[in-house]
Amino acid sequence: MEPSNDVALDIIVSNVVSVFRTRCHLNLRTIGLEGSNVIYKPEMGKVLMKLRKPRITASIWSSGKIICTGATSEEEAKLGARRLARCLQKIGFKVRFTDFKVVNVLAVCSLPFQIRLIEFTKNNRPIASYEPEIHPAASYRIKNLRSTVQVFSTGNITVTGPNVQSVASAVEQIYPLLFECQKTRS
Amino acid sequence: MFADEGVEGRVLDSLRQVTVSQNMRLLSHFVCFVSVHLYLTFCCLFSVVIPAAQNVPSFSSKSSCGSVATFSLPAGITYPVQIPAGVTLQTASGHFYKVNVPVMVTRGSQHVLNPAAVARSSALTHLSDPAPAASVCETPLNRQSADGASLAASDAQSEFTLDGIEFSPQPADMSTPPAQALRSDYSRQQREQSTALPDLQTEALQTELKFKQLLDITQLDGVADSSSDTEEDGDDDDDLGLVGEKEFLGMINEEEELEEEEDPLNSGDDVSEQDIPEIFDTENVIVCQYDKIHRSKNRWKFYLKDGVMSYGGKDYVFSKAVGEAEW
Repeated sequence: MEPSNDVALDIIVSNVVSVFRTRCHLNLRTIGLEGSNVIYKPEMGKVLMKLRKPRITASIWSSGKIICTGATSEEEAKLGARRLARCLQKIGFKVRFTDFKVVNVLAVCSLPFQIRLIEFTKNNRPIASYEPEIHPAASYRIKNLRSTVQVFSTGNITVTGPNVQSVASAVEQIYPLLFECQKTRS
Repeated sequence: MFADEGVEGRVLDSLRQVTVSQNMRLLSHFVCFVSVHLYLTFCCLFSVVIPAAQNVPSFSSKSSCGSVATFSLPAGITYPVQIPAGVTLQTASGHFYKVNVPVMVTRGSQHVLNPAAVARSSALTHLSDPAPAASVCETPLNRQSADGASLAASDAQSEFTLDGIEFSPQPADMSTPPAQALRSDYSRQQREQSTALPDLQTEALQTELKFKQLLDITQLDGVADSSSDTEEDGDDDDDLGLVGEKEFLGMINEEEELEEEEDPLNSGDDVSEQDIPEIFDTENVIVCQYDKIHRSKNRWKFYLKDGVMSYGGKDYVFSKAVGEAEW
């Protein structure tokens, strides 16, 4: 068997979620009326503002907390958040760009083999859990990386973690375990 | 024509005004303005839709759009640390002034000139010109001093010589630098346990705490509380404690860092550039009521009713209209 180091895996970061605060109260109605590309949701108490350039969607609360989703990299997330704060500033609010933090990164990866989930779960008993009646994927939680990997029998895996680095490490860590339980064995 | 003629009458009036003046108007909640671009880019709201790319200037000078009251530095800059009451500082020339200065943690409220404190300050001996300026400057930063009476008596408690502190030049915004210098000097003193500060040291301190840094000192609690909870707790608890100095200086630095991160946003040169696609505003407008507005990712679907559309200079009237657009 080939060691797993030779495989080049394409880890595609599909979503980066970040938050930041503007440190000032935001009048949602004003943003809804004056802003461009906004969706006012009064029933939920927030305004969605979408940006094209880094394609992101931001949920804006009146407290000044903003959650930014849809970016494809951490840098893009920060850039988009700054652009967003700039938009709010142009509307007239005294925004400050503070407490920016990437809170979640979602990545997908397609492995070149299929996986025997039951065997995988048995081999990694406490860390992996698999309930086919509930969800078709086995989930593998890596505590020290604070990341979760969801393994599908097709060989696709999704990884969520607090940053891109931990996501990459999680894939590296789990690859040999998955390699052991692949389906294409004669 | 329409069931609700009264509404339409008002609506058409407003439409006239919209097309004439290009201002946004807010109508009754069940009417929806839609601005139609050539590319059918929509922006629908619950009650009002903004003609895209139309920047209404009416909101230009809003200093307080629900935002936190900003502190003007000269008048009401607030510091997180409170130096214990009754500390008297003495300049080399022998002027006394009371240091209660560094900021009370207040919520943007004015620092009321404490007449008692002023009286006390003026009652101090050896008052000459710089000193009243100092005391006047200091009192805006004071809350009620706890032991005002002990002020005069306690001039022996801790006396420092603070040479080179400038008071007179700008009584208005001196509140920042001298207070800052005072505070830092005081902290240094406490640490070093020395009574006399050489000029060199003072000047070093002053240059250390550049004005820019001083500008960055803002309220650390309330609306503007920083992310670190422990610091704030320390803030509030160390009311009369001498413990706060090191933490305080550390906090100054942290505030600095925060400010440095934030400031580039204000320059806003690279951050913007959202206006590029927004130049396509036309006079194509739809005024109507809506049945449903639906969106999936960036695909929008509009189910409209009872409306008037002005498109390509011509007016069209409809009882039902369906639209699709990609954003």
